[in-house]
Amino acid sequence: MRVTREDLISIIFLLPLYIFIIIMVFIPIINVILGSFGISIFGEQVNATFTLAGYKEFLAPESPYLYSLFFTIYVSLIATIISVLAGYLFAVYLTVKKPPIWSKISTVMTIPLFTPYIVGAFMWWTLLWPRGYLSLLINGLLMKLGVVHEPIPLVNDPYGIGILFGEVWIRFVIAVAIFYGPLQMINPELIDAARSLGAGTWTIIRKIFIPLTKYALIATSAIILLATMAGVSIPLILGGSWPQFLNVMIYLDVTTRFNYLMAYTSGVFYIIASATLGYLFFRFTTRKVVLQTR
Amino acid sequence: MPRILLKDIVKRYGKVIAADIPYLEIKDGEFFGLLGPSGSGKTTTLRIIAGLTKPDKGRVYIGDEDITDVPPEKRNLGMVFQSWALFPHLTVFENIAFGLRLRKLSEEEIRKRVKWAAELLQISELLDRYPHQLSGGQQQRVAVARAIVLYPRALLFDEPLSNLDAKLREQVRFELRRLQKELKITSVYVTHDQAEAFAICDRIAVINKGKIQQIGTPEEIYNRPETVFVAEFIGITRFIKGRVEDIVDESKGIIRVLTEDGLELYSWANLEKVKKGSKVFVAVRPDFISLVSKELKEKNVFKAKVELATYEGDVMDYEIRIGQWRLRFKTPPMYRFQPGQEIYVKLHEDKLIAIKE
Amino acid sequence: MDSKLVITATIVLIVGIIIGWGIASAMVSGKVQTVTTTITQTTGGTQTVTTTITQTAAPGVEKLNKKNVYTLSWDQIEQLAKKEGQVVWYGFGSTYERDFFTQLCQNFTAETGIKCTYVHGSWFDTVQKIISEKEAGKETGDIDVVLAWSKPFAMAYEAGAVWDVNLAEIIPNSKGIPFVARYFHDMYPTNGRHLPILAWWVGFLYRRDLYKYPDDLPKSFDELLDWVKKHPGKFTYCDPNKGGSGHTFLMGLAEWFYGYDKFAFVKFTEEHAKEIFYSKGKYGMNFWEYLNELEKYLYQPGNYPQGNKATIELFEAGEVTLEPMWISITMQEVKSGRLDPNWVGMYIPEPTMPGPFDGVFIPFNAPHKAAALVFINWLLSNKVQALIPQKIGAYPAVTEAWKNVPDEVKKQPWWPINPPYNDLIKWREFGPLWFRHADYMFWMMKTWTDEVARK
Repeated sequence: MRVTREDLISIIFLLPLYIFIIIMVFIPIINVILGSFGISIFGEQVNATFTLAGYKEFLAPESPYLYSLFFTIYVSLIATIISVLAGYLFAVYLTVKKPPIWSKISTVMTIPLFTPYIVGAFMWWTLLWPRGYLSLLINGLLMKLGVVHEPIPLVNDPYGIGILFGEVWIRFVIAVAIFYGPLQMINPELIDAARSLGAGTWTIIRKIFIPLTKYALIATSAIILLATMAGVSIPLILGGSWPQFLNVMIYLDVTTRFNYLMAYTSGVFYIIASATLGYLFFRFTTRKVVLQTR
Repeated sequence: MPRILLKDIVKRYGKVIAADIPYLEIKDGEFFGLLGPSGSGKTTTLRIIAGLTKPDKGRVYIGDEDITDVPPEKRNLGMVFQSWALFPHLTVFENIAFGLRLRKLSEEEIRKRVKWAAELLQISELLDRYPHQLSGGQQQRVAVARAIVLYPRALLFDEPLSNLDAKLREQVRFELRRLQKELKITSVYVTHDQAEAFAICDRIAVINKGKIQQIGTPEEIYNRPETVFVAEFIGITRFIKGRVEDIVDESKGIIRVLTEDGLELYSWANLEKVKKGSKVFVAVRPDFISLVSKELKEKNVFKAKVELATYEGDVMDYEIRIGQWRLRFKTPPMYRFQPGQEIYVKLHEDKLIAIKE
Repeated sequence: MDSKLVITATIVLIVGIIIGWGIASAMVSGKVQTVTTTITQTTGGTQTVTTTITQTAAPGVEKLNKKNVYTLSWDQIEQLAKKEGQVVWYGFGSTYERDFFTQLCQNFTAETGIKCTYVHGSWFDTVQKIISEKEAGKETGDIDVVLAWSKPFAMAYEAGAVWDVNLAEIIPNSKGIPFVARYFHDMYPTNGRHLPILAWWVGFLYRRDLYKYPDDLPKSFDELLDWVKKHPGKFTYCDPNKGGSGHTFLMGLAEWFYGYDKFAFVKFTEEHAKEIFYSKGKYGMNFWEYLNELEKYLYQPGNYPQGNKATIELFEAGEVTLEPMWISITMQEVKSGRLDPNWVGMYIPEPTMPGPFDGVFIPFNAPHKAAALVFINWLLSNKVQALIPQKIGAYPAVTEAWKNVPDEVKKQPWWPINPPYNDLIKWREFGPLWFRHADYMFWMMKTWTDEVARK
């Protein structure tokens, strides 16, 4: 088949994008995959020796890596659920009630979006460490209520509480920002109509808002989940000695132990986990044509 | 079906008064219109009845029940919106059944009622479709079906026909009225279209800037407007300003008015409001004017100059000038007067309406 | 349709490979200069920030090489250094160290006329840079002297990125360094390619206002377990993977637990490590059991502070009253006003605490090797060495220099009070001088996460 002039033009225009994707996406991923088997094209060991030792260690029973992976996914899921739920409900509140203060404080609320992750992480650390204001407040309250007898660690703790604070702080704002648009697009008369038909606010959320913003919910959840899993600053500063996020383990493997093999192997599993979760999410959104608010 | 009563209702947005209604009673079973220009507060009033807007002051009653503090979802008032507000993600059937499902009725009861409403609105074959697959007229019918299927205490219409084209609008008007009379549901109809209000409503309240100007039947409002605003808003109206010289016939309410440019004309007036010496606006509509063949030495006959002439198929529409006053005038198309021509017209004294300034 | 895709893919692949190759080789070969990095955490210190430099290789001088460096006299080397005219030093550490090293550089320039440039960064990135330059075959680099501790030095050395010359023989002032430290770093044989210039040390930081040494404190590691049982929640140590005070303390603990001879210069294998650390030491427990037992009485058991700073902040807040901590960091916290000096007491628990002698090496492709030698020699002079305790709270590598340290400095509360540790000269002569074993230490750090933190 002859290649027409239009074809050539479209090829040329798309070329920079393809090159970018190859250099910045494909080649590094291939490097990581090969590195997990002990073969390295750039950088370290130039002698290629194929080995499965990395995988053996990662997948060994009771392996800290495997547990790290689960911990990463688990905490990220919780952070996502909290952020999406709270963000969605808050965006609904803004849409339905339209509080007049909103226009004044909305800029303040977007501060987390502009704060570099690591700055935010340190901020939360100073609030949550045993002498931090928030820690003193929360623990004081809990102890007064008799729920606990001694202060519980809220950061660098084994349950990821500190990580949750830091992650939700940022992701909540993202969720509100993303949900606000589609919710605004819903014809406000739909809400009035539902009310006149006898629907209370909770019914309206369930039967009108959620069905009409279904895809925004799914897509946002996917975005937030993947972003939370990937980010390293927050779990590095706010996480504890154990368990750790897998990306923190990669960081430690490389910088203190110079163990590139395990770092690459962990990277491969990270890629697999993220790709799987991403695929699962987006499969259910791009399938159907979006029929949102009319 | 109970009556609707509004008492001492006031609603303000900032400095703007959206509604100021000391007293409004809508009778049981009547089709009541709220007529006014955009921003006059008619929709606000309707929403206050529905409970979607809370008034700053005042009470709302249905029958004898004070429903001012009852949330809208508990008032059982059916409402049809300007944009029809059909739920885009539900079928027509589910749209209509929405309120029924909330009341947890049995499946067969729901089906029965939906079928009934669909037949009434002639949309039975559309039940499986989605709103985006329907035409404007069909969507509007679904909206009405959805409202009536709950057997509401009253129906509230917020300009439901303004998104339809003119021909369809005329058609649907009659259907709505027919339906209301059949179901005998007290209904409130908000519109800015005077012809629509006249066609549908038993009584109409003309509203401007949040205040009711006049309440009455279409005849009363048309023939006996009480304020300049009502007179101007209804029909095609022009005014001749003058002063009342004296009262000519007290039993018939005829007065004599003198304009500043020396025209003398006779007009009807409400003698309780208009006194000798009052400054008045005399409302003149095209149907108050007749063509006369020559200069008759009678009251209210004037020489007029044709300024503009428009052919409209079934009538000729003119703008004529008497003295400094420009009036609108219509004739059958066989009279083709041209701009610049002079004609003689008579203004019927018992039709002219003199309103106090 | 198909052929369009194929053609596009082929063109893109070819262009991509060409561009990729070009970028890779351009980055590593002489012309384009390299960039530096961002915030990282180091094991011995704190957050660091780097600056960028662009430097081209010095114009050709009579090059010092591996052979002639031994035959030239020191005067000749000094002359060569003056001809070279420049020396570039890459270091790391806290802001105090940065300021101190910058100041040293300026002093050197003023004294010798050889322009010294100091770049503050991260040892990790610096060593990475040199190693990749070695692999790319870049014969002339930009760095003359690198401050690095054992692990990065070992990596560089094994990659062949270190100038393969016995600095300990060539540099006159190196004689003042204790012998073992001259040829080993954290028990890694350096063969003199790496020379220590200072010794950061970890001691037990305690609340001087609350406790009297030695009665109220665990004088030796033997007494530690009892002490924490009597004072639950008052002791903690830093997560060894996040801060040097933690892993240095644990190394000392291990050396006491099993005996220093088990580690002293013993070759590392994983099996041997497992053998040692899972065997019974004291109290009929193995090392991990001991640490888990200890953990029960720590501050917020199971929650280890993440980093040196976090650990000392707990002390500053009064939450803990005893902890292993770098002397240097203690000094810096007092100087910054965050730590009350009346609270500061320091001692070395018996048998002793090991420590790293950190130092410098010369990269294989240093452009000013003679100047580097002269500079290192100057760093090891008594005068400069005596500044180290005062400025950054570390011990000088050259023991003699302790004599030149002013008394007001020695009197400060962050220096250990218990003899012989209160006098560096006596300590190095009579007291046990223990080192950390880098390989066992790393293995231990990693296993700690599994065996202690996880449990």
